[in-house]
Amino acid sequence: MQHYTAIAHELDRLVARAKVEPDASISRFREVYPEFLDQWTAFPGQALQRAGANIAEFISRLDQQQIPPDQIAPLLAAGGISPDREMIAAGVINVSISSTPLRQETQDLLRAVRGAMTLAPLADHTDMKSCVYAAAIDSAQRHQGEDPDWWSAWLSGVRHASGSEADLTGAVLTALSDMLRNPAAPLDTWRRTVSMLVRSLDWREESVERFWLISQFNDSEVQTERLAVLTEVLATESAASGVDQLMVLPRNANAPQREQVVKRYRDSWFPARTGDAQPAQQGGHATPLLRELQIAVNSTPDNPTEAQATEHLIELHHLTVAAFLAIDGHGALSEELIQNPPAIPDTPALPQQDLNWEQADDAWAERAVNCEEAAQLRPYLDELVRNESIGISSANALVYLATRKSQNELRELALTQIVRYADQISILIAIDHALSKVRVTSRVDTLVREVLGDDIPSRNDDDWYPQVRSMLLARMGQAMLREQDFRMSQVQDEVASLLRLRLETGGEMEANSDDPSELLAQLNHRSRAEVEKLVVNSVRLRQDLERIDAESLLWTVRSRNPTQRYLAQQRIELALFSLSIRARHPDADRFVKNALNELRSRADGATTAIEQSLHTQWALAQLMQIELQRRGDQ
Amino acid sequence: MMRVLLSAMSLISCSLLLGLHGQLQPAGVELDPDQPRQYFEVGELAAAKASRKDDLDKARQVLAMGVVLAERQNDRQTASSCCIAIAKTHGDDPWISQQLWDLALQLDPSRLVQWAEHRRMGGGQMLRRDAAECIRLARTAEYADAKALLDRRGVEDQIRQTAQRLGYNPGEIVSSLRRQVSHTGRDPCNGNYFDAQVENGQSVRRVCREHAYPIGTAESLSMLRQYLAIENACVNDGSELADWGGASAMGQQEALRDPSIRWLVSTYGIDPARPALRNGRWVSSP
Repeated sequence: MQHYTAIAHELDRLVARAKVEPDASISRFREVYPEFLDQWTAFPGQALQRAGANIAEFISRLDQQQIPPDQIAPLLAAGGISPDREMIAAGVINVSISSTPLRQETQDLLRAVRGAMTLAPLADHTDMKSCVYAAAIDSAQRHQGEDPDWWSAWLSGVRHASGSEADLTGAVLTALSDMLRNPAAPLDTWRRTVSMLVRSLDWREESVERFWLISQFNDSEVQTERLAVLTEVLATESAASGVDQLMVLPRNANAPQREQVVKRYRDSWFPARTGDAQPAQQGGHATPLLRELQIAVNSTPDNPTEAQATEHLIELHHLTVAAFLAIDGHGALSEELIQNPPAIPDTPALPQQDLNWEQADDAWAERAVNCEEAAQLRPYLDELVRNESIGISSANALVYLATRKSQNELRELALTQIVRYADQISILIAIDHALSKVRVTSRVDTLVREVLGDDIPSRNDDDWYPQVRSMLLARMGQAMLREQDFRMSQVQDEVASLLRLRLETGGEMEANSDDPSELLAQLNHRSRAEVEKLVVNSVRLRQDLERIDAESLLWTVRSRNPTQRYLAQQRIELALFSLSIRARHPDADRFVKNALNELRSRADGATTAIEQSLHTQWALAQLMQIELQRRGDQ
Repeated sequence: MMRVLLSAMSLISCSLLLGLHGQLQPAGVELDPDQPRQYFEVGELAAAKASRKDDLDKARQVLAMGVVLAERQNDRQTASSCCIAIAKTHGDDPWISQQLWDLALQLDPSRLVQWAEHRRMGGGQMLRRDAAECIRLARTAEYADAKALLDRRGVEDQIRQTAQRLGYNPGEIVSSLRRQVSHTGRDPCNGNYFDAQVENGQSVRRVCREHAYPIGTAESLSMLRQYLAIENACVNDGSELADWGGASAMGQQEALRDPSIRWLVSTYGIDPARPALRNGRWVSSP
């Protein structure tokens, strides 16, 4: 085997010989070219470029000599299926076609030869490394196997074809991403292959590969068993620091175990920022805010449990509000938010009230319900006061006393107790039982107003019954909260708090609503006015704004519950923000569309509104990254 | 003139297709996929004349195909007209009717006034209230009235649909309700919770234990939660529940789905790759 310099020299000479001795030069090329394919990774960058240019010129001169195209094209076939040979051969053909004019038939045949090696689009430039790199990426995407020898050859080729470390990292991570999603059970060779690829990356602090790994855990298409082997290799064979045995995913891990392990990676590789602590490197992130957004976006699972959905929703909200504040010139406030990540308190245990028959409850109820005067009832109330909850029979007894007894004082005493326990399901059911569609007595009306408030029609109004039922059922919902329901209320409070902050810092009058959908609607109203000015000179963008207006109406009026109402406003916010970005940064159009397509895919699989809300906020966070990056570039 | 001619030809196609009995007949005249308006006219007329379920289903399919074809040609007015025509055939199903109206609005935002009018008319509001009341009466031991409502046309279906929408098992809910309203034992309290008894010559109220569970509740806490959630979903248009926790407790967590052509295709069992109707069968080309 010749040294690369000898091969390079031969290729130089063949260019000159092609004009004078085409047949002899063809014979010699047939000997030299395979050696070039074997040795190309030894060629330094410039030498490789020159070699490619020489081969292209050689082909061109043969073509000018009217050598039949079906004799020219096969000269550049790769021979064999080794990926490193195929990628360089595909690159050479690309450069040959792009360099100099060739007869159409010669071009067509060369394209066909190349098409047998790669499906990467033909580039219209002559940069050898780029052409080879594109073929390498395509080769990895189409390859089905995990054969370590194949991947070793591929890695060798793509390493040499990469114009930068980022290119190599991108290629390796793309290949790993595809293989992690292969639903077939991994073969024994998987470990050797993944070990080779993992060790080709340095996994240093703030590196792209660290962010990438977090996102793999949160993608439900990534096969657990494959990911587990990767973490084994990472812990035992790679240069990655901060990885211990607890961060090796069990091969049969379930979703909570995956969540547990990824949290360890996050804590180890991306510890929460406090005070002036800065990461040693920003890993390519222009600002801490962008870094935190990237971590949060990568950490967001695509198929979350309800608990994960609420946790990540709050995290993303926190960061997107920090971003909006930064954009609006409230840098210090933004920084404060980043420094103080959200911490929703633990949900208290919420034992559900037992509504079964209970002897003690019945006994108390029977004593109470037979009272005819307040003085008879008062002693029994001392027993009641000792209990935090009131049983179903006792509740019915109180309602009976409040609505059926003739003594005013007795009724008022019972009513006072009812109001005291008005948040309990037993009382609400007892009140519901006392309602009648046929005739609403003044006593029932009084009872209802004491418990539900005065915003009820007159008892003689046909709307009294439906309105009271509606309000009572809403109260019953609140009275039957389980831990997971209470958590939703906590999430609502946190989201509302963040939105109020945005409104108040934006100069709005003190935001006085607790309803996140109302608060976000106010922000959207403001955004829409700003976007309208941005699109005034573009027919296409104005039409997009009209479409958003129509869709906004549809989303809003179709919402049937509070999280849907909030989701509707989030969608409006996302739509307006994406239009704003496209109006101000037309070059970002493709990235915006990618983010929205990914959202569509995630949201289609969502089963609840809160999950959809998470995905929408995730998309908004991605758009925010685009916005911040563009601002950073200005 | 051309429009009048085309319109006349469409009507002739319609009558040929419909035949004497209002059914879609394989009369040798096919629907042209390049003319979605035909699908609207034929489908609407066929739906109006349909006397059997099969005929109505076929008419709906024609209209649904009309939506697909018109949307492809960017004829949003015809697409939304087809949606509305299908909606009108679902008088007994307010939910699906509303989905179709929503799709119509999405396809053609100029339909906003009609859409709002349809929304205002309440489409099924009475049925939803009856469904909620039925469950309430069953809980509060007014068994005869509850049963009467449950047997009323559309009420059980409304309960089932709402249960389904909330992610519950409709069969379990309805079985539980039917058990409850089939109570045949004594009810000395007449549903009033307390029964007046005479003890030692005096009238005394006692808790009436002749019921399987306390009046106002259900056979289990889980079933009670589901009952209340269904009642809430039927009675409330969503505006009363502002608290996310309360809404979650009432099963109000369903995803917000946009009406889509894909949903339409799936619901009416049409294949956009077979848009032509020949001899009563859908084929790929006329």
